[in-house]
Amino acid sequence: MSVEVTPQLPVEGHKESALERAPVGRKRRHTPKGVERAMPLLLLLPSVIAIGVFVYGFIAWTGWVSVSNWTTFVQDMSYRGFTEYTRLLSDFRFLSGLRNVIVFTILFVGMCALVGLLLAILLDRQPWGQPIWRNLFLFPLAISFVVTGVVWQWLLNPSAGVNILLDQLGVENLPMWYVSTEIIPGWQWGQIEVAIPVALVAVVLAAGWQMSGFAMAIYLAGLQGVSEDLREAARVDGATELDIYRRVILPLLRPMTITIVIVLGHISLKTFDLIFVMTGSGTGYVTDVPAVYMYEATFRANQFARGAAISVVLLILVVALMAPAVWARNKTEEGARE
Amino acid sequence: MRKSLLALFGVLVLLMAACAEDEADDPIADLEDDDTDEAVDDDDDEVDDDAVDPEDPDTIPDDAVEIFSWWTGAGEEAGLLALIDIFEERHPEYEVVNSAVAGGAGTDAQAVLTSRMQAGDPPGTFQIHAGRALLDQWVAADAMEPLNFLYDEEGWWDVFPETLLDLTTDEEGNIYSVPVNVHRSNVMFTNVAAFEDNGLEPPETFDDFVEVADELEAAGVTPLALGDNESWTLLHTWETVLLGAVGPEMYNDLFAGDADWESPEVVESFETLDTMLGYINEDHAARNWQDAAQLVAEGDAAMNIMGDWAAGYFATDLELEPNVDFGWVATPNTGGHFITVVDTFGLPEGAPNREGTIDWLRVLGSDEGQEVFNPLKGSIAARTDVDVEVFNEYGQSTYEDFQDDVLVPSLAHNSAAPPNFTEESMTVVVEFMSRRDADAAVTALEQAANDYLR
Amino acid sequence: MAVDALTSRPASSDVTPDAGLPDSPPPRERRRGPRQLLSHYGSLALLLFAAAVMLAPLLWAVSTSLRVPAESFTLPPQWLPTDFVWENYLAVFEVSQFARYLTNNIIVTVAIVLGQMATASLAGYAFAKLEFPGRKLLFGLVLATIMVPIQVTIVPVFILITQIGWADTLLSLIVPAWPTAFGTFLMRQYFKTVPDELAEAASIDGAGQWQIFYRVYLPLAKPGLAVVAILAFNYHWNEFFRPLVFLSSPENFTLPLGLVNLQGYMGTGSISIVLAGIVISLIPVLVIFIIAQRFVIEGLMRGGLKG
Repeated sequence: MSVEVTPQLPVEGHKESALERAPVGRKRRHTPKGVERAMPLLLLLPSVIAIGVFVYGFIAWTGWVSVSNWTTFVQDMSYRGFTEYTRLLSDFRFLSGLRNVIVFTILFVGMCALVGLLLAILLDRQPWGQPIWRNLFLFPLAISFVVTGVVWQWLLNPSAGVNILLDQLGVENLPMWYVSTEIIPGWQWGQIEVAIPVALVAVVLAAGWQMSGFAMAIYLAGLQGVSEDLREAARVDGATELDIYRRVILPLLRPMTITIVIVLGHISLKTFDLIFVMTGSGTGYVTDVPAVYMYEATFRANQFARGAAISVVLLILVVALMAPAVWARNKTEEGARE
Repeated sequence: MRKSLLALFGVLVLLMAACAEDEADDPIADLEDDDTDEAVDDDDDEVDDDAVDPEDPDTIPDDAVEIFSWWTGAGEEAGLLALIDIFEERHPEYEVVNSAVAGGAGTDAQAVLTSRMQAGDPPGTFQIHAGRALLDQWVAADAMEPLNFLYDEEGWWDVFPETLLDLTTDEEGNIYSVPVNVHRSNVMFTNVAAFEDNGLEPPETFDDFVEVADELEAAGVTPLALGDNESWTLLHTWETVLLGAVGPEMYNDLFAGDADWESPEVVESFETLDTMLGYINEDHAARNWQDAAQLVAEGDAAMNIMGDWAAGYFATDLELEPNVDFGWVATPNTGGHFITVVDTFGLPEGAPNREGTIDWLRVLGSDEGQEVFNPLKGSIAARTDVDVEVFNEYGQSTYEDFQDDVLVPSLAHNSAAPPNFTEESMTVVVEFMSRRDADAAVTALEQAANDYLR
Repeated sequence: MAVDALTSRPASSDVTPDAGLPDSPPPRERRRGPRQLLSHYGSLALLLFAAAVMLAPLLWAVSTSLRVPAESFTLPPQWLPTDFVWENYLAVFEVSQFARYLTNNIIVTVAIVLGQMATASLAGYAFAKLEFPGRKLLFGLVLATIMVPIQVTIVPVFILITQIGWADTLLSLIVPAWPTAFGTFLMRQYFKTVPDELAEAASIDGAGQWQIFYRVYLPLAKPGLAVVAILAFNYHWNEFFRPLVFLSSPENFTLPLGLVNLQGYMGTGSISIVLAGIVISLIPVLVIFIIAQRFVIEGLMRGGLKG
């Protein structure tokens, strides 16, 4: 985006000639010295030191806690070993949480991308009142996850909300939503079932409702960057509208999809607010996620070492899943730009 | 112009932030009803009301006694307020600040207390379950003052059961809190009609249970109601089965870390739990403890294992009559044993008004205080010399048991073990519910015992 | 952005991710056959349906908030309010310290936003315009922290806060939030679009480093500051986890925490009051959203597309 440059300085040409003509004593080019050399450092210091100490330093500290003996209220930082990590490997709650957060991420990102794409396509073809539609779909983004959680908790409460509507429509076998302990059959892997807990679907709906607008906005920008020439050329070649979408437009939207996966993906891996407020960890831990487990282990059960270990694993999970995608994106972008 | 305005605004905001806690006048707080999270004593003429924000620890005057609890439900709050009334009568010189925090879906009272204690900002006194929740946390952190002197003064050593006092005493004999009420955890509530109509007696042993359950099932009644929407109810159920399987001595040994969790008796407790879980209502995951109790109240289920706060629910909320509509027995195999859930209050080190807190504790431990509080709350007195007539039929029967039975602390309610072990055991039983693997369960418990109990 | 006059789309044949979102692109030419009309109205209908679904939860919240509390559930849900129990909205302020929650939220959010605007512009400028060794690496390290889940650092921050004596104060929320990696990233983007020649010209004119930053670049990056401010406002207005951990007295609660607290008290009894509180909390969000929607979208584009 080009920035409107309001000239605040005299035109360069004028100055140059003045400088050329200038005898010694006129203003010379300012060379930074002394304090001014350190200016980058000074500008950066607050942020960088803060981030250095309070993020990286603290990550290291938490890493130490995870291998320490701090397992009760009284702090004890002596070395213990990697016991907590080995425990987590066979911890029913943690494994369930891990499965849940991965399933949740896949479903959530999938839903947002799909809904977002559909909405974007609709909006792209429907210029009438576009800002209104756009804002409408974007508004939930600005809402707190807490608000979403409270509202949807009631909407999908088995004895209230949507179920009452379904009941009036004559639906038998009302869904249990987030109270369900069913896990759509998958396969047993060690202690847990690797499958989709039905209760998570309720949470996915709530989260998807909130964040689909984001995907829509990204896709819309992408769609509107697709030149009409391209579409016309395809049409002339005899392609149907559907073909145009499938063969021409969708591939061009790949970068958008990657962006959406990255942004929404790392939000959903770290999700806490929505789960905590809407369902808690659920019976049989069907809606538990590592972030919630970490909170309860640390602040309720005083299991500080365990909480630290969980947060470290969460960090590794996010980095491991997101970093490659980001890296790939940066590479393609740099290539395109330079 | 705009920029300097912005800067000014920014500075103002920062100033507001720094001073926010000292904000004197909170007119909104004055509008709040009594049945919310605090009750301000407005009748204290000696204190300038404008300067006091009842919930801001920094502005509570030194002559105020702040009482921190999570008694915000109907009966328990009534009981608390009645106690406060007695206290104010006896000690009009103090202002009472009732800092009750609702638990539930939002803020965790436990976490709030932890925050304040860690910040070195203790309330005047706080509610805590007797047992390791107290000893392993606040006592171990040297945050509590021993109360031996108070017990000596008031002659309390003989009035409370010894096993109860043991729960708040450390190894050196220092006692740290005053018990005010006792709930029983190992109660099996029954629907009287369901048993009578089928010619059955409430079971006393696990074998009886299976027999009775089979017959009830055949008669179309759900034998056992369970509401594990909140996982603690499952832990609660299992602890009664554990007691029934191992007996009180081994029960105590297990929690002291002196017994092996992988012993066959513990394995048996899980196998028994497995059997019992074969008789529960299908929608257990959707029900909380009240919903499950309701099944028994309405005759859809015959039995429900729950603490005796359920009796309060039956009698007060549902207006059922004890022994007519609902009955009770000790859970199978635990006759003569009493799992206690005891609320106590202590004296934090550095409490703002030490004398005031001590006087409050005197009221708590007095027979008048306990006679007033407990019937309202639906629990029984911790003192053994209270007039038994103040309780309803259920309370009377429980009170008698309390005097005679062997007392053991409850796991599910943070008495028998510190929070880290309790949370761990909750994970274990939840996992057991899904996988029914008794060996895995006991191994996990033994591991947790190593980590947290020994 | 050159726009071809004939079609009204960019003439280039690639997708240009930088395309800002025009408010309403001119209608493209199309043959107005019956099939086109059908798809036209068809998509309109679909949009209406989608909009209805999107709005439904909020409408439900508003309408339920106006019901008599005891009847929140018993009667079938009305999607349009029938009783208009406005008292529920007053009740919110009576049963909880809602005014306090709102004030606290405003204080915290504004303070954080101002601080972030400062640190982000300083650091963003440095990363964009100043040459120094290790710049790329440092920026990468800063950027990487966006990924870090807050759970990893919350305990040490909490302990530090407690030791300083800020536990249960609003300062504990404000000051640690001032350094912002994402804000720095955004500001760097904006500064990069300002030509370097300006710095040259200014230094020729005798301006010092600080003056170049403060008088030349910063004013030009105002749109960037606006985006940072809006996004930061939105995020911190809705923040829940840090207040949950740091705050313990109800009168210090921020709004999301206060709402959850309200739900804890009211629970199943008076959900209409809880929802009234929710609706009240949505009003400032709505207002800011309307005012700033242009910036929000732009911020999304930049933030989303670039990282």
